[in-house]
Amino acid sequence: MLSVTDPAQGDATEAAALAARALAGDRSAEARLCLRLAPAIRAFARRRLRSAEATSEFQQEVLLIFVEALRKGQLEDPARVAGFVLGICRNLALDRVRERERRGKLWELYGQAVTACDVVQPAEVTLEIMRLEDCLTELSQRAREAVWLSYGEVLSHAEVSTRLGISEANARVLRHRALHALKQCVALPKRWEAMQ
Amino acid sequence: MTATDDALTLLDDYLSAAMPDAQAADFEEELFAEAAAGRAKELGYLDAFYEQARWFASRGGFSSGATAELIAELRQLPRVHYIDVEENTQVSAWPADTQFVVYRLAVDLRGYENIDVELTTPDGEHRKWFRDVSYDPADGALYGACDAPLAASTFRFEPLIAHVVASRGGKREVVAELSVTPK
Repeated sequence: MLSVTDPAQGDATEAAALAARALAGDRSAEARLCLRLAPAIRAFARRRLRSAEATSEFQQEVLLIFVEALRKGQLEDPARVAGFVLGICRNLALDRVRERERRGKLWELYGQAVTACDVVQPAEVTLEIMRLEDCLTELSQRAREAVWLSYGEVLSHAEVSTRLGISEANARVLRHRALHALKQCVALPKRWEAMQ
Repeated sequence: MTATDDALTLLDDYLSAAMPDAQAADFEEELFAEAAAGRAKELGYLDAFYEQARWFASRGGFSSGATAELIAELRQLPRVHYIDVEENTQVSAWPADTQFVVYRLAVDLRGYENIDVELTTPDGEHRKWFRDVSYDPADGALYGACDAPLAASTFRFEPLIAHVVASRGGKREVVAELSVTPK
């Protein structure tokens, strides 16, 4: 899991320079680019896909294509590396839509014969998780529910508003306020950390 | 609201698809460029937050409060320590390998609503709020569970008083004040 103190965020090397080195065979530059771009790829996927598993799978596929392209020298302009990866994301998303349509037809025909299983792998208890646990108790029940429905269950504003019995605009505001409050709260060291 | 907050709001709108597709297409260009440059701080935060929220959801960690039945089940598990908090409670150190601490606050909140618990030092200095907690309707007591390091901040760090505040008949009142002292 990436943390709020991800070292990739503190790395000042220009993306173009990293891409040029990666193209020249520098594997550490390649890894740093992947690490930097992975959250953006996941954001792209989260906007379009619901489950964490689908998001993770999408990210892996994009990075596989990206690494292959780097090693085959297919990135023509290192300065355009971000756009190149975004392009992979968009093409893959389009492929997925086509694939989903094809699968939808198959599902109609054979869906009853198929059983899907999801396995959720819980993350380890990290410092960030303990800080979040600490901070969540300071939110109102409604704000906690908004956070749970929005980020835990990954529901849309419309779905959250229905579940909470509030307007869509209010659900959005509630979600944003809770998110900001939590971000501020988890950034502060807690008293119990001194005891560890 | 700061510029960072605005960036977080925009990113959240993008992720939740509240941002229209036309705007999102431009936003994506900038998002990927910032990420490639190692400057997407809010993205790093929110990316981690999704994973953390998912972890909490898998544990049912978004509700504040538990029942006697649930706590009894948890007490059957290894590496779980139980504390019964009454008016003046002295808390001994628990085994070092303890994973969860579960507890019961001896109050009867039946008939009350909008229940908050404020932790203060004995001289009234605020430490922490627990907002909108729920009680067990069977006995009116408050039950909870948390990771051991967090529990240590409440039970083992310094003397604290838990002020249980709630509403009944339209009136806000202090229902109980329970003190906890590390032994």
